Amino acid sequence: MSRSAFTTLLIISAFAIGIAFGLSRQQPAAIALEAGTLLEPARNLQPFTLATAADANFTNADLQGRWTLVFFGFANCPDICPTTLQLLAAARAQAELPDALAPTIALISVDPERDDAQTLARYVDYFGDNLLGVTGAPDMIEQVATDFGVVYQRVETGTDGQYTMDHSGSVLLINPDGQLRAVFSPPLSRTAIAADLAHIIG
Amino acid sequence: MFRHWLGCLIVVSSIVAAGCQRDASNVTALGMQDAWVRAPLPGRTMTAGYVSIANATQNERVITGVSSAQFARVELHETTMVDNTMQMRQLTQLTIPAGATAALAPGGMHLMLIDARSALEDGDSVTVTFTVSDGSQIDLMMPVSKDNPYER
Repeated sequence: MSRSAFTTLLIISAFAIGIAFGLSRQQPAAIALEAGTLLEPARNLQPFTLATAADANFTNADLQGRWTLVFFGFANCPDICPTTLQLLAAARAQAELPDALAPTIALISVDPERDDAQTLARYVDYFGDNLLGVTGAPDMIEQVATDFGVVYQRVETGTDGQYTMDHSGSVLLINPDGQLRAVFSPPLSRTAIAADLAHIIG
Repeated sequence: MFRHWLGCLIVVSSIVAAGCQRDASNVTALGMQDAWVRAPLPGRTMTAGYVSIANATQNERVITGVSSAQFARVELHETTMVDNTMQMRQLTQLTIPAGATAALAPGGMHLMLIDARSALEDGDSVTVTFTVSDGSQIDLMMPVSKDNPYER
């Protein structure tokens, strides 16, 4: 290799290293998560109006000032919904966050025709404090689910009008600005979610 | 300790119920372990039950039916994940190969207990009858619990 070619290579290398260093300095170090996917930057949610037992007008503003873990499910779901809510409550406890930072756990119903706000409140209260049961008009639920990247579908299970709901098993973390901050996809692990909550929030 | 004790109790009760085959060379009973029924949630009459069923016999065994006097109907169900979506479907029967164990556990296969005839709480118990392909029936007493009693 000639001397000039070597010098050129050296200069290019120096530039490349400089650019790489500059880029790495510009972006904050990504938070390495155990289980979740972090949204960087956090994503705004579309305006919504839903309902809880205590608040017939539950909107985006009600997600502000606190962290919220959102799971879509329904009350007539005897296996995965209680299992997930129990796991989230346990993960929240295990994260050992100060009370003000511990996320509210919100169950948004994908079965609003059967789940009124009172039914959901009784259902979620069973899993501890600081849980919310959220329902609303079917088209609003659909809009919110789509915005959250959640799909669901009614499935008939018999000829007698019985049905169940297929639904995404993802759990979403909303930050105190009411923005989507992280997504946890199944299979969910209590320990991994606890570690991630401590990492993101703590 | 508690787990072990409860597991033994359940196995004993299931063998007794199956007629307690005393000929050890011809074990016919299925071993039932870690059985529990989730206490129905407030306002709910439907709930799920879980148990591990070990087939120590030399032959395939098929659970062809499940029932309980305490519920209008009991079904075998399975929650599966398809493209990140939770689906719950009824199983018509449950086949357990020789030497295998079928684990009915949260988030997977489970008993779907439909329309409780009376209120059930943590500490109560539910007796479930499994009908097996060899013609036997197994009555299993399952503790009702708010949380999985076998989890750390």
